Amino acid sequence: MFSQIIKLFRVLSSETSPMQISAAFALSMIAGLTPLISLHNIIVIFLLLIFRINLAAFILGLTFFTGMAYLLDPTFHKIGYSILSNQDLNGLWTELYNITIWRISGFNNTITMGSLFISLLAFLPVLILTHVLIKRYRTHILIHLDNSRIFRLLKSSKILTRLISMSE
Amino acid sequence: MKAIRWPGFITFTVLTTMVVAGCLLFAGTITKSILETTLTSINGAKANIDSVKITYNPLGLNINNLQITDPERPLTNSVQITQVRFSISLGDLLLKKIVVDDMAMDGVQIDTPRKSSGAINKEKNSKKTDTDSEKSIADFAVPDIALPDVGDLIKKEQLNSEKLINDLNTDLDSTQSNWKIIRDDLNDKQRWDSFHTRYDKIKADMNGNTAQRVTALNNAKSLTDDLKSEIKKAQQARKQFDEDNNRLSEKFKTAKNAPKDDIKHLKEQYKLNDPNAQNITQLLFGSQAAEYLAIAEKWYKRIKPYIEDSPEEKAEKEAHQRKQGMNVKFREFNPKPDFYIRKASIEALLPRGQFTGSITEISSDQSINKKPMHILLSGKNLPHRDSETISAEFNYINKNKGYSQFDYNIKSYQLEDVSISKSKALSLTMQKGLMSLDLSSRLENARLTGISKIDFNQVQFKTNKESTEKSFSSMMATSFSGINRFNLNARFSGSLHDLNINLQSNLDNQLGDQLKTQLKQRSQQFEDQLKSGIDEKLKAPLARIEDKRQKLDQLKTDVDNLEKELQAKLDDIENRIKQANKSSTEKKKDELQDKLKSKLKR
Repeated sequence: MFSQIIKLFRVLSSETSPMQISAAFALSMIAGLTPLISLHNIIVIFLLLIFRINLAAFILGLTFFTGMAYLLDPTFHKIGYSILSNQDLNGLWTELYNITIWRISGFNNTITMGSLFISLLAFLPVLILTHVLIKRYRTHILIHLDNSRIFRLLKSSKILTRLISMSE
Repeated sequence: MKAIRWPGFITFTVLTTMVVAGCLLFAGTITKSILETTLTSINGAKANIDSVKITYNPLGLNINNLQITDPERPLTNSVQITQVRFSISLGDLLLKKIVVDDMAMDGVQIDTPRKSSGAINKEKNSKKTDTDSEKSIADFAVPDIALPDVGDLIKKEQLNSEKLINDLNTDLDSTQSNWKIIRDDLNDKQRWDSFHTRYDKIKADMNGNTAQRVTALNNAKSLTDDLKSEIKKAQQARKQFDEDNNRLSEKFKTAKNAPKDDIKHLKEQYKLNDPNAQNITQLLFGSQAAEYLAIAEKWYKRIKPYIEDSPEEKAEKEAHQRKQGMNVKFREFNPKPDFYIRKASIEALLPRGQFTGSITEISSDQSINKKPMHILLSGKNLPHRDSETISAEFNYINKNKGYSQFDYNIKSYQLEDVSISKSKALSLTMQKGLMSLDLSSRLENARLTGISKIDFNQVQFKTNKESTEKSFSSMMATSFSGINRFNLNARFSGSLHDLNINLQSNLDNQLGDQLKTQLKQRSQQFEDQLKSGIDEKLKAPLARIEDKRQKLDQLKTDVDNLEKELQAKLDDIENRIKQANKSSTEKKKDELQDKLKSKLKR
């Protein structure tokens, strides 16, 4: 966990494009909040491998959002149930239910539907927000950190390197 | 194209290919493992498969040597199937549904031995229970009414006739001694000598002078009184004799008739049971019917997990759903259950012969496919019978009104050495016979009802009893030899654990008639033997009684003679007294006449 945080700071401090990091966070949110073994997560993995998305940020985000999912499952169940039992959408669900690929996706599961709905809804805001935050971090915080004595001391000392290697 | 990570793309493609290839390579092993685990879980004992081959165009499975262990007999397979072939719908399989249109099962066998134990948990007592039940079924109690040996019976039993004869004997003895005393008293020599002396003296005195005559008359009067007294005693004795004789005659008569009463009493005591009171059918076939129902119950238990969800499983499913969210179900355009086989063709090698048939609409949820499951099996080139058909319907479309219907039909089955009763009391084997059976049963709301009609023709029975034996069993055995056709109808209803079986057969009537005739013969034979036995036993005592009676008669005759003699003597004395009185009067008259004449002459 410690190494992951260090890695995150490294990634944030690296030359990696903010969009690659924010996309990793946004995708990890989908994979983490929804049940991991799902058809849509194959698409997420596919996107993750094909496009230049930061893997360390994705893994860190996945760990974080999977933990969150345990806490949010009851809420996802309620949201998913209300969506699936919505009479206006019943025709759509019935049609999808009779298509094999959709049935395999498990869309009719309340937790899958609830979590996917929330994560898709939050995808763009998370993507934009993390993008903005990374940019601001680099322009405002990282410059100050780089100039601070403590940070320079830590970077130059072997303590941080040892801690990273121990945690790994 | 900086946005695309080509190594990542290659990795993804390689990974996907590896997963697909792995699935194809190990699909058989994985499927085998899944099938074995699932069937073991349902069955409660090991299910083994030799190998599973998967075909991909069309997608199908070829299961070789499927063995399902009997949970109660871990070294026996309840079912073994040489090969199961079926094609499966890929689309449904992706939805975790096993939907099979056509299945073929070849070489279905039941109760085959296993090389190794198929138990999950060791059950040590299962064999013992089987043996116990076999023993209890085989050994039933035949009501035995064996007639005892007449000789032993007469020795053992206290006969009333004997008692009466002994009583009469004692009475005769006491009466005889009493009569002897009376006779001896009446016939007292001293007294008779005295009477004779006195009589002679009277006679002599009668011819004497007047004084002697007067004395003689007085003595005669005294003797007359004494003789009258003796006669009275003799008369009283005779009266006593008559009374005693009447009593003894009555007792003798009773004693003579007593053997008849004894025979009647003994016949009552060792009465042969009314054959109509015995339900022979229930006795002979009741245990076998229970045995067949036990088999039916065992098979129902085996099938039950495949046709019904247990409440525990339902609860487990619900709990599982809550943990992982809930799968909302929508209307399906072509609904299919999770497990569905439209038709399975079967070729079975059962102990009874080769059977072919089919099972249709095998479904894990009949409320979805809306059709009941049907089983139809019929014998092919069966030995010793014209035809044999097994059909069943498991209708659980409406789970609250679900039922299982089972029908079995067999025509002209040639029976040879079929053990009907293994009882020690009566071992009964049907050496030959033709049997036709129609069985129809229905299980609904845990209640089984049904009717079975069996006709037996050209029947020959064999028993372990000799016709010379006297037991009820041997009589029944003899009766069976006269029966060549009968029917057996069974009606049963109730829960599987507490089933009420009502067996009816014309065998009861047939055996009843046969037994009645035999019982009558045995009864007559017993009576005759009893009569001759009792007669033989009472012959000597009765002869002694007869002898004593004759002696008594002799005593009576003696007393009668004495009385007559006494009467004669009394009559004689009285005559003599009369004559003496008359001659004395005449003599006095003559004397007076002579005196008068002499006075007149003077």
